[in-house]
Amino acid sequence: MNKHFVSHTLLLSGLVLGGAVMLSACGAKDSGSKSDTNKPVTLTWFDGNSGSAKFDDPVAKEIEKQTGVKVDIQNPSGDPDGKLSLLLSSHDYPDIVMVSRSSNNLNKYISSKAFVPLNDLIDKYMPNVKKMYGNTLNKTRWSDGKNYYLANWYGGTGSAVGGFEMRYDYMKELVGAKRAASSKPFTQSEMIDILTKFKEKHPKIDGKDSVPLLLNGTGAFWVVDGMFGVKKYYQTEKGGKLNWNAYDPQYLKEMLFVNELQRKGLLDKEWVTNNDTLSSQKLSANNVLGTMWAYWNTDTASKSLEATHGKDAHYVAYKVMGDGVGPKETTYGAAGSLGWDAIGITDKCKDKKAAAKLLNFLASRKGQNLMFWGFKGKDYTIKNGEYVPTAKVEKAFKADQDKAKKETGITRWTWCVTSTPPTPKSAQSLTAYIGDQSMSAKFAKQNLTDTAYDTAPYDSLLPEGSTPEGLKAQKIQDIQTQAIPKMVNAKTAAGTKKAYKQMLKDINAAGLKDVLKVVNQKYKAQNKLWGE
Amino acid sequence: MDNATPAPTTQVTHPNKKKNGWKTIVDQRYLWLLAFPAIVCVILFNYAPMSGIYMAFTNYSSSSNGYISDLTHAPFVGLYWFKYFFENDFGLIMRNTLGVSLLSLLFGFPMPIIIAVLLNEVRVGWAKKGIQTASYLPYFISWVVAANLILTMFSANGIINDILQALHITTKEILFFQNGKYFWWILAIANMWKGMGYNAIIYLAAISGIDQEQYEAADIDGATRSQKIRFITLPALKPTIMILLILSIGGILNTGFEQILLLQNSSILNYADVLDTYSYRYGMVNGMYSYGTAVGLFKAVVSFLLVIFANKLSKKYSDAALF
Amino acid sequence: MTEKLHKYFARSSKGDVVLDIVKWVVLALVLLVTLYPFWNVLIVSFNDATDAVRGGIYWWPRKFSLASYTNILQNVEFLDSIKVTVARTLIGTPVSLFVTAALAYVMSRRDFYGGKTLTMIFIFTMYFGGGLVPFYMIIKALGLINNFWVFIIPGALSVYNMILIRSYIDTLPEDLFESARLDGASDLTIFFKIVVPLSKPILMTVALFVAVGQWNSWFDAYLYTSSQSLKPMQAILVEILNQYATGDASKAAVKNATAAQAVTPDSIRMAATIVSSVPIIMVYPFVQKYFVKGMMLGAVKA
Repeated sequence: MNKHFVSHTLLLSGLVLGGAVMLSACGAKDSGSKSDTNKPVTLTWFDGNSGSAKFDDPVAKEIEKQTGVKVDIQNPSGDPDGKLSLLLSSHDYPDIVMVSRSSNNLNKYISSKAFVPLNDLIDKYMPNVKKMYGNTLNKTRWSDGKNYYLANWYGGTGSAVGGFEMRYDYMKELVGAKRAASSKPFTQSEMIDILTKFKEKHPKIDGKDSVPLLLNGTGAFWVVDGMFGVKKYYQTEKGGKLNWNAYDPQYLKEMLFVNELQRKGLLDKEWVTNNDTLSSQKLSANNVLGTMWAYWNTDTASKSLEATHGKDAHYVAYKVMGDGVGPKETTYGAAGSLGWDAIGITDKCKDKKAAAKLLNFLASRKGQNLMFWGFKGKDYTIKNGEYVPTAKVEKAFKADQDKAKKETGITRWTWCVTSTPPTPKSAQSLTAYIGDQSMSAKFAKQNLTDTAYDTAPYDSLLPEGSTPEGLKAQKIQDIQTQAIPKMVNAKTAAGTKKAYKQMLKDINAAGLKDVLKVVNQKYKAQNKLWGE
Repeated sequence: MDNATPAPTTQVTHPNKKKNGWKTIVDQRYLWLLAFPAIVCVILFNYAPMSGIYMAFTNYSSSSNGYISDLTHAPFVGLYWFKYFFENDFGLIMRNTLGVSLLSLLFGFPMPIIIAVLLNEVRVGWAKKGIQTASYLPYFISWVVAANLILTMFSANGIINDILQALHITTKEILFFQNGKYFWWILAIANMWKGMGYNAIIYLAAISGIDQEQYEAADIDGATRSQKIRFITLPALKPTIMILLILSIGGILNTGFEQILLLQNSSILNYADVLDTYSYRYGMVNGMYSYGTAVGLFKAVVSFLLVIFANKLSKKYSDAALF
Repeated sequence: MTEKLHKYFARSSKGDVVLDIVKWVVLALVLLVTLYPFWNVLIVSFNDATDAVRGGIYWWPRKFSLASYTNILQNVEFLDSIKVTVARTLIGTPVSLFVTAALAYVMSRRDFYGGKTLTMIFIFTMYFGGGLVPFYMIIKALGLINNFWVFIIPGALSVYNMILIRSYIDTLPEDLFESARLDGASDLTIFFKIVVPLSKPILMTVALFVAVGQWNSWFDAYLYTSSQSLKPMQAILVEILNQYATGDASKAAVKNATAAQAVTPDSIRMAATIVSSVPIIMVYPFVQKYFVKGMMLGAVKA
């Protein structure tokens, strides 16, 4: 190495540094453009669900062509809620922001005026939104009566979501082919028997200890809630006062049930530490009987099991009723009729008209078809009122869905979408069409459809983060999440009850009363707004 | 993790002392020029953000008026957030923070010294070089990768459980990540594993700086190798050990953020929640900016007091000092 | 062999024999715990993906396959992210080195007016900060949000590294500077022509530290950038290794509805680990010869 090399490099980098500071300072000024010319406008869009995807596939290009808007996707590698919160703290968010409806962020984005009221824009530029959303727009109004966001995946209740996902081949072996195929729900004790029988019959499979039931961490408890009909809040009468769900008498029963599984050795020992990846990997091994999860979550595992252990080595959904819960009282299908996300235009958006036009196109039937089904003729055809993918596309999606999505753009972008299919006969989307052919979807449809419950009324009632009550609410949720493993892993049922009582004591000490006060205030205001 | 040398406590009286300050600055303009980028950096990225400390005493919420305006308009709440912290989670979070960091210190501090001293005893060149290079390896990989390795190794079917069972130390697998009492140990071991090779360099360097004549003289006196370690090598390392200890004590509330964020789960949050993750979770993820800042401020003040204290102590009992 | 052993025992005291045993046992353990995890990753990455799910691969691939590597090397996002990481490492390292070394030289000058105060001002920042939100505001005010230079500039100065370099410079013979000064060399000339070449060992050592830090960062990208084109490799790794579990029902449903991301099998994750770690490990041999030398003089005076 030349003697001067190092010093020259250093000198050079000093210059680079100086230049960079200047450049970036200048670069900050010249952003933003006017839309009235025909040049495509670029709008930034925060989408925490899209993964590392670029807006460059055929569907994306068509959206750009139709609306004159190029979308610049912003997506964090990590927790989207934290990122959205950071962006808001500095009012440095993109032009369009998509945020989970049940997160604290939605409240904050509206109350800090980051989301602009859409009513004028809807009246002027978004006729399709009015047409497609209908009454949903009334329901998603904020407490001041204005619309600040459009719901994403709205209108979707009544469909199956989660349940007991059990290996079909093992179920046939344990309860007989007829019972395994029937739509009759199982009772709690029947299910415990099945799990016990499995453990007795197959203590070890492929040299590994068998696992009767796997749970995907504390995050899976919404399914356990469903089995016992526990909802987001405990409410003794319709429209009455909301209480914390832990006060639901069923809640303790639920914990006692999972505790019993644990004590009998029927639960995956590592259930707490499971996450999506780990759970899927464990389910792909041959030694698990079932899990409690959304029915599509087991598809990856089923696919790899089918390849090695035959067609029936597939996880399919069953309904199990907790003790004292009727067949129609389970709440496995927790879904919000107002959708999962909220899409809002922010005050940073320089061209709100273009943004409104973009949302208007996406919300239209034409836009929905493009995002869900691709191009008519090339990707799908309509036969007798049913949307059907072309053979080529269907083949591509069946072979490698991720790759096919990337190449065609179909179902890659799902914005302002409705859960209602284009025609009553059709599936909601091309991927749903293919998914519906799977065994798991058929079983879910057969066994889980009447388990739906609409979470929309409870979605955004928690106090806002920046208030003292918000801090308390967070604390209470923390206590509850941490108490679940204690209740489940207790050595005796009495231990579970003790942990439960301790949890109630702790959440009360953490200020449950104050939190519920805010929740009920918000609930009342919402009822008034909805005219209920 | 770092080595540092104290500015000598005896200041050299420099020739320019009597000169006028401004004239000296003009004389030393090139030195100022060289320091300029660093001074700009420290002002912009370290001192300017300290204005945010005020946030801890207010109920800050953001609006479209901008940061400065939000800060000046935020309602003053005094010590409300500190009070809330001390009345609620302080005990638990401090216990975890100290648990993790003291255990990390217990494992991570002596290990590099042991490695360095033992490596110095290895006379076979390639073995010495090979072991040394291998021991750096964990330093080069990111926590993203390391956390994944650790989670896999300590899982129920992981290699650690396989070994424990093969050696009949345990009969059933241990669920390391479900029992809070293991978490601190795992983290301490992980921290040690990742940093031991890297930290050993500093000691190795110090050892190679020891005057060889001392060893030769000891040989003549018939000293054994163990005696040479005890009476020559270790005393020579003492100043380095002291400096690193001061730095570690100042950083005792720094448990490391990334590794804990990547390794924790809800069942052991009772043991895994430390000051850094706690203030991040409340302050950032849940948007309670003021509260997060208050917890962070508490940590900064205590850390600073600790390092001053350690420095004083070290000055008193040995010659080494950081400043 | 036996002769050698005899000689060894004749030469060594009891304590030394114990010392030798302890030495080899400890060092062998160090070797094992540092090497084996990487070996395991390597063999799993070369194993067939679906076969690896079964687990139990310890020493050698059971079903050899390169598919995981072809898979990861066809992942456009991953390849793009490598470019970002390479760029930030190549640019960030010399920039940081310059800023830090220049300050270290100034701080090493005992005659520098106000030097002691300035040292305190810098050391103070090692322990005291203002928190994330105000820091973000500064970054934003400088126009560095969503800007490549956010990876370079805010972290350019490292006070730790400054102390390392300074203590190395302290050990350089004072006469060199004196004679240069008498020859009429300015402070700039002394820095570039004398200090920098003579401090090469410590500069190379610090350069390696900075490069490793740059290569492995992802949290800064999470905090300060949102654009796809600025995602560094470790950020994509976080996604591939899926460290973030989805929490509640709504998130699970969104996942189904939109991405339905396939779970990445072990071997692909391991291949990603190897692809991401090997380049930075490869740098080490080139810097190794400076390594101990650089840290050495730095520590002697301590």
